[in-house]
Amino acid sequence: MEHKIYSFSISIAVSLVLLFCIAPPLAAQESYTKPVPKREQPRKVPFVNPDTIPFYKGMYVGVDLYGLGSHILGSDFISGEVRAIANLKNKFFPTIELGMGKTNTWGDDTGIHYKVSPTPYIRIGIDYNTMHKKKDQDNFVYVGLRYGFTSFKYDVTQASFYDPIWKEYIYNTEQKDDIWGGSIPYNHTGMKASMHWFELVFGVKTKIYKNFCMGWSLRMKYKISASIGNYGDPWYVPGYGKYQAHSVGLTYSLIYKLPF
Amino acid sequence: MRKIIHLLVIAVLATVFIGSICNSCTEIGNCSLDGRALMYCNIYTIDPSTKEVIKDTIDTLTITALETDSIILNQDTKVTSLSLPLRYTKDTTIFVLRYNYSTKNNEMDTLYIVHKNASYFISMDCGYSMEQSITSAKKGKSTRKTQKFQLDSVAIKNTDANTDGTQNLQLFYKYRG
Repeated sequence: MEHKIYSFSISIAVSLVLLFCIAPPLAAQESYTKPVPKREQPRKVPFVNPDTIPFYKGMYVGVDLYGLGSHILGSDFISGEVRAIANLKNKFFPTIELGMGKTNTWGDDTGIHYKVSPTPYIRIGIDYNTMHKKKDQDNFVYVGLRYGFTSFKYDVTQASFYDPIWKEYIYNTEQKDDIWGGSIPYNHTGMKASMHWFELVFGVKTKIYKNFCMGWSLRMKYKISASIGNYGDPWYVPGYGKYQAHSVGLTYSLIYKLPF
Repeated sequence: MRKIIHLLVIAVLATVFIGSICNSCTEIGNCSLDGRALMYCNIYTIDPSTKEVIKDTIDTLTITALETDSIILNQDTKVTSLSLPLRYTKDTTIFVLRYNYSTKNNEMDTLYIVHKNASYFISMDCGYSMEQSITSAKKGKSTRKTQKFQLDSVAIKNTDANTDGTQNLQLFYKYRG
């Protein structure tokens, strides 16, 4: 637990360092044009009057690329996700996320085969933009909360081997009886499960070109409740990741601001 | 345009870096259920005059099981409790308890355990656990009616074989005065 908290703290620290050390020079690079005498510069107004911001400030749609990218980089899981985000006063961002996740994995040297067919999941929640008072309304640093749910089926099967010398099957190499010898087969398909969870979200988002934004978010996920099969725990839960009390997730999104 | 390229590079680097941290976090598996579940037994006798249940001690005990050459307990002395494995591939396990194994004087009891076996998948990292539940337990006839230690009866206290030492069976021996 301590290790996880430590790792999580490191990741937050690294995120903040990246955000605050690398972003300002870029911003400076962007704004640099020609020196203007100080007396001619307009007085900076770093904050905006909240009353001047309309309640409805637009709608965003986005896709998560991390689920696909991590699979390409070697993850056992693959997922794709779309999200719709409303902008309310540039402060609150109600969000709905719909995704599909699957896995089809063989254990290294164990003969365990775990499969989840493409299964939908949903998350709903809200983000709070900590930069809503800033005049610059193209950059967002937000914290948020999500509730997630999925219902899925999973298959766990075990490869068996025939021993030609002793002329017998070893049904489960992972669970041999070391006293009497032998093993029993394990093949359970279509085990049903469902899971509810919530997520604490920290993320950044910035405008990159016209109506296009890009951002990533770090998520601490906590299991609320789960219903699982009789013969084994699920290993992968679509939208949540590995089945455990809590896990860490990441999203990397491309977002488009709708023109209405 | 340069800003976009820089942002993309930063985003990709940050994503890969933080992603690798996240993956290493979630790789830590909890395999605390590892280890074979056992059937835990305590040894008692009942004082017939007071009906009091007293903890008993067997001087020397050797335990074997049918259909295996393995010796499960080898001439242990001052035995007050037992932890016995149950068979994975059959639903009956038969133990032979020998009280004077070295002298070959054939003083022994037989313990019959009927149980259910079910493999339970934990995770890809931890594999399986075997869940074994005792449905009945009984004793066979002692080989000699005059033997010093004679198993009298068996009582089930908890049906699930476990790894935490929870008592499953009470083995009652004849009172020796």
